[in-house]
Amino acid sequence: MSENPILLECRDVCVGIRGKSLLTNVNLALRQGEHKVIIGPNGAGKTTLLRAILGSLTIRGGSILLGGRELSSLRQAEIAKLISYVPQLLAAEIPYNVREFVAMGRYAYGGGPRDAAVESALTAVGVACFADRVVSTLSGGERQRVCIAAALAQQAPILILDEPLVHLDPSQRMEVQRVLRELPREVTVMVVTHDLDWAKMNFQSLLSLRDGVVDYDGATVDFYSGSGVSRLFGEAVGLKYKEESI
Amino acid sequence: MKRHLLILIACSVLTLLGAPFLGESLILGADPAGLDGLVFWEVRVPRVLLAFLCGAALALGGLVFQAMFRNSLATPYTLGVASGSTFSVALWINCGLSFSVLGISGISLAALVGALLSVTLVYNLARISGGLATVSLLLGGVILSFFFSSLTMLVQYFADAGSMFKMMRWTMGSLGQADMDAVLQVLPFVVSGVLLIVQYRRELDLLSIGDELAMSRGVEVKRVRRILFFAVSLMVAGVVSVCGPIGFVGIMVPHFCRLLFGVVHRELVWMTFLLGGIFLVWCDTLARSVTIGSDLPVGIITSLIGGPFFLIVLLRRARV
Repeated sequence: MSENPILLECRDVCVGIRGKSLLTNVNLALRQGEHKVIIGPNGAGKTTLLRAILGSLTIRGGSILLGGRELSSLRQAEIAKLISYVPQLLAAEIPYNVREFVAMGRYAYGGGPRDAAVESALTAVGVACFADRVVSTLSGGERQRVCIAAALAQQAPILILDEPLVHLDPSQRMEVQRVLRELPREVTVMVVTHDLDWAKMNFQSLLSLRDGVVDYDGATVDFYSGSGVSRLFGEAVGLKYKEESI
Repeated sequence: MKRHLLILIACSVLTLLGAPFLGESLILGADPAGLDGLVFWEVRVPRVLLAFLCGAALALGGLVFQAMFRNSLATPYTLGVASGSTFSVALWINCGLSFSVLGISGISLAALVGALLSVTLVYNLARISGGLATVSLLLGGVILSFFFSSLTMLVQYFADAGSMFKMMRWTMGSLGQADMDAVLQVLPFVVSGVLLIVQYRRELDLLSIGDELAMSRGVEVKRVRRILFFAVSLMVAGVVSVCGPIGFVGIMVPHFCRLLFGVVHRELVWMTFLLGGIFLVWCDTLARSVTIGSDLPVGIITSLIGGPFFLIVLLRRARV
């Protein structure tokens, strides 16, 4: 894994809004095929980091390199061909049907609902059977799978998900977890989550943030066997995971 | 979809061909040289054309705003763009200036400046006070709308009797000044606005699902938004400078079109444009038929139909 090329790199990234520092000197490297999870308490800067990587907010210092090129020099459509994104569960009213919604992932290529990529994305996450239903009428788990399908239709090497399991009931969570486990091997994944159990089971590498600073970046196993969890979430939570890893 | 579009095109042609014959009196087979012929060619034909252009432009402007702001109550009218434009035209009339730049009359330019000013204001107001899709946008629009209306009244209050009457009639929204010159004055504004908007039909779909998602799919959100703002301002300014603010076309027609034809903007843009035109032509035909000797400002008719409709939309949304 460590020989694979670096697809995404953050070098000393700093972000601040109105004098308040949100991220300080964040370093991160995402290699091809890697599955990385980002954890941290609320307000630690996880979402800010994602938004910086997606180019939706400007960084104050440092640089973000995407495939070796400076993020700020790329057009939005070029970024979209490299990174696809699944937001937190869609609460907004989406009046489009599943196929139309997924086809929007083809925007960067100038494509549409008839692209082969749309069909294969629909099948890959098992939503082809309700492709004609309106997105807003779907259950939370189905909606989340549709969002993953739309991201896959974008055919980007990197897939970023923001809390994909939040607001889902246990069976819906399993549904989404399965879809993510069965993603094509070559897809590089970066996930933000609060779910420590899921993070432990499914990701090789882990990055933790605390107060806008990287607290840990390395193998997931070492994070859980060391003092990582208790540093972030306190002794009580830390003890539970430490016992489990012994 | 294609079939719906063809039906609407056919209806538009029928409307444009049929409406000039109707009015206070029916004109059939008139002698082109006689009085009836004069009324037909010099008054009614331009008026129908103008109504179609204005209705189409206002409806399309409403559709674009509703997609961009993800709010079915957003229109150039409710967001204060029309009243900003109205104010700057009232100011213009009161100053009694007249000149033209490159064949575009000063009054149209004044309308455009007012429209662009208020669109910038309302957008930033909403952004600062907490998000576009939220109630703060409409609140900002309503406040702005009242503010500009008051300014307009202030201008009218200090105006002399002659220009005051002109302004009064004009702020009610009327197609009464229609002649071929008026049509030609509005036409370039509407055509350029429409040409800009049809370039961005796909982006409208993406913007309507959310800025963050649109951006991650590859849309240059800020640039597209700016262009669309400009396009809508162009059309609204063109309409306002000739007819004054005509309300509610921009909220009703796009809403109906979404109900009837679905939400994909590729065709919806054209459907809304055509239905908006058809709608205003018939409203205006009604306006000039109901009273003898003079005509009712069409703004009164659209608002009378539109007010209750607006309420229904609001109540239905509240219930969901």
